[in-house]
Amino acid sequence: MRRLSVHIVALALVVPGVSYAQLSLISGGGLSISASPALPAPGEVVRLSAESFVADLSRSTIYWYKDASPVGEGGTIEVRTGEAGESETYTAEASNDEGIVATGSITIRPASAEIVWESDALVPPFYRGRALPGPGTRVRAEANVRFKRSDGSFIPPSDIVYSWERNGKELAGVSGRGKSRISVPAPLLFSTDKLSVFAESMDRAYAAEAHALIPSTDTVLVLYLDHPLFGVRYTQALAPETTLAETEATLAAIPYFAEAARPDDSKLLYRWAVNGRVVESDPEEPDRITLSADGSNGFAFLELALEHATNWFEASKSAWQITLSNNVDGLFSDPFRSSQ
Amino acid sequence: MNRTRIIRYIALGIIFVVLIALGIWYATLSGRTASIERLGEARGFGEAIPSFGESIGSTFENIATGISAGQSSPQAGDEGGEPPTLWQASAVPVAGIGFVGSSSPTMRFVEKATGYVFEVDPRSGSVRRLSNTLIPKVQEALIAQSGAILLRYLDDSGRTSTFSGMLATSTDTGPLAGRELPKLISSIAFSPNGSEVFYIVPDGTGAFSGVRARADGTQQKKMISTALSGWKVTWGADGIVLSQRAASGIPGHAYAIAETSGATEPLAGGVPGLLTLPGPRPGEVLYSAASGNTIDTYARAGKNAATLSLPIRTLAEKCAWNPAVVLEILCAAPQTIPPHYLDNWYRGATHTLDVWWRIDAARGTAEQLQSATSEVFGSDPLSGASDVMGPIIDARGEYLAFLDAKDESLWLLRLRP
Repeated sequence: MRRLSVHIVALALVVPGVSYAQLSLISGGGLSISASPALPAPGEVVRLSAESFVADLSRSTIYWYKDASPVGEGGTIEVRTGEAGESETYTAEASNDEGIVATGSITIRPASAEIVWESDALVPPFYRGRALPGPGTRVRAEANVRFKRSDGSFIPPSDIVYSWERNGKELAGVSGRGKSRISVPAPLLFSTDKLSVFAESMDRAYAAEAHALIPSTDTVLVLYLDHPLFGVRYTQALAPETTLAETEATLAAIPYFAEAARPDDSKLLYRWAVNGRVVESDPEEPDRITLSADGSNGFAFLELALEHATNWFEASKSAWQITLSNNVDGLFSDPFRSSQ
Repeated sequence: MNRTRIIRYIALGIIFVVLIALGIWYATLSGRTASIERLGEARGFGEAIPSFGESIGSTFENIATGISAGQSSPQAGDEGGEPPTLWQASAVPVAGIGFVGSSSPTMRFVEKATGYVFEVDPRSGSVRRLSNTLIPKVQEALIAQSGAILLRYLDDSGRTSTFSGMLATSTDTGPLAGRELPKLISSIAFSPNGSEVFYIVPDGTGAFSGVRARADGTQQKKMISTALSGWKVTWGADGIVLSQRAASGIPGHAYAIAETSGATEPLAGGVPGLLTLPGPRPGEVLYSAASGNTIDTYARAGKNAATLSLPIRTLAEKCAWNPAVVLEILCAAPQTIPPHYLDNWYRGATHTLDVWWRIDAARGTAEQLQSATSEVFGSDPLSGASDVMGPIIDARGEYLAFLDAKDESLWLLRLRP
C-alpha cells in the first residue's frame, strides 16, 4: 500500500486531470477525492470522501454526480462499483453562497484479483483435498487478475506487472512483468505466511491487489489396508484401534503433506515397530508393512515413526492397535473367507 | 566279534535316528503345506475361475454374496420383482457410477477390482456384466450419459493413468475398446453429451494445462495454463468449471471457463473449504463452506439470483441436482458433524450417518425424505444410513445412486413410485 500511496501523490502532482483507475486525484478544482478500498472489485461498495486544502468545506455543501447525474451530497458517499471493465467517473462539487468553490473527480475501473495456491507436498493419487504446506515443502501460487478493457477484452498476464510480497517483504526476484506465478517455501512450523500481490497494467490504467494467508501444516500419518484386489483403501483409514478380519494384511502408510513425491521416496525414513520390536522395512516398499496372525493371537501394537533424510523439521509418529482375526466382523471382511 | 556287533548296533542306531528325523521332517513339511493351502484358500485361490462367457463373473459374482451377507441386496442377475426403495446394487467396492440413456433409467458402474463395467436395471434389480477387459485396481471411473467410460488407475510405475473406452456392444459381454489418454492427468470430466473431455495435465515446464479433447483423446486443444494441479473439473450447463481442491478453513476459488476462448470468470471465491456443484441449467450452483466443525451450504438459482443459505449442513459432494425437477436438489446431510470433518472425510478417517433431504433451491428450504426413510429404515432413520459419496440422479428423476464411503458399495434409492 505504501507503493500505491507514492503512485497517487506522484501522479496527482505531475499529470493532474488524467484519470487512473481507482486512484484519487485532484482534478484542477482543489478538491481531493479518495476511495476506500482504493482498489475495489466489481460490485463492491466503495466509500468516496472529499477533502480540500484550498476551500473551507465545513462552510460548503458537497454535491456528487455520476456522469452528470446527481448521486448524493455530503463529504462522504458510498457507491457500488459496476462490473469489471465498466469505467465510472464520480464528480464532487463544493459550493457555498458564492457559488462553486472547488471540484474534483475520480474514475473507478473495478478489477478483480485473487491468489490461488497449493503445496507440492505429498498427497496420494486421486486425493480430493488440497495439498497443504507441510514442513520443507514449497507453495505454488498464482495471481489471477482480470483487467477488462472497455471493449470487453482482457489484458493478458504478460502485459501486467506483478509485485509480490511475503509477510510484508518484497519478493523482488520473482516480481515483474508477466510474473503471475511464484514458488515460495512453506511457512515455518506453527506460523502463517501472508502472501500479497499488487498487479498493475503496463500503462498503469488498471490496478488490483490480493493477498492469501497460508498456514503451516504438520505431516499427518494415516494407515490404510493395501488390499490385494482393490489396492489401497483410501476411503477407509485405520482407526487407532482396528480389527481386521484377515489373518494377514499389508498396511500402507501415507504421510500426508510430507516433503516427498511418493510415499516410498528414499528420503522418507520409516521406522516400524510391532509389539515394541523394531521391524526392518522392505527397502522397495518402506511405506508398507505386512502383518500376519500366524502363530500368534493376532494382536499387534504397531508404531510408526517418520523422519526425513534432509529435513530436520519432519518428525511424525503414530500408533495403532490392530487385531487380525478371521473370527470377527471387522472393518474389512475377507470376502473369500466369509463366503465359505 | 564284539567289534562287528558294535558296528551293527551303531549302524542300526544311525538308521533309526535318520528314520526319526525323516518322520519329523515329513510331519513339519506336511503341516506347513496345509497352512499354505489354508492361506491360499483364504486369499481365494480355491475359488472357481470366473466364467467370462457369462454375463456375470469376476469379483462381483465371486464375493458379492459373502460381503453382502445380512443385507437386503438382490442377487446379481435376478429378474425377480421390484427391488426395495433403497437397495444395495453392489456390495463390492465400486470405482464410479453413471446413468446412461435418457428413455428408461439404466445405471452402469465400474468394479474397482477388475475395471469391469456392469449394468443395473433399477426397476427389476437385475445386474449384468457388460465388459471383459481387465484393468485391475481402478481408483476412479467416470461414465457419461452416452455410455463413454473413463477408467483411472495407477500404472506399474505408480503414474496416474486414464483409459478412455466405449463398450463394443450394450447387449452382450464384450471388450471395452478405447485408448489411453496422457499420463498424470490430475482431474478430468466429460462434456455433457460425453463426446469430449477436459483435463488438467502437466505441461512439462512445471506448470499445468487445461486441455479439451475428443473423448478418445484426439483433437487436443490447450485451453488454459495454470500453476496448480489441484483442480476439480466439472462440465455442465455453465461450461467447464474449475474448482480448487478443498481443505477445511482454507479459502478456495472456482472459475467458469469459456468453452471457446478459454477466458476464466470467477464463479465463487474466498470461501473456506469451498466445494461447488453446478446445476443442470446455467447459473445454478450449490456450494458448501467448511471450516473446522462448521459446514454451511448455499444455493443460487441463477446467475443474477441471490445466494440462499440452506437449512442443512452438508458438503456439496453429498448432493445432486435433480435434472427432472427445476431447482430441486437432493442432499445427504450428516446427523452430526465430526471434528475437522472435511479433511478427515477426504482421508477416510471419519464417516457419518447421513439422512436425505429434498432442497428447493428457489426458496432455500429443505424437507427430509420422510417417505423413503420411513419405508426403508422404519422408525430409526439411521439404522441403515450410509456415508454418502458422489450421488447422481437419472435424467427422469426416478432414481438416485450413490456410493457409501465406508466400503465403496453402491446403493440405489427410488425417488418416485
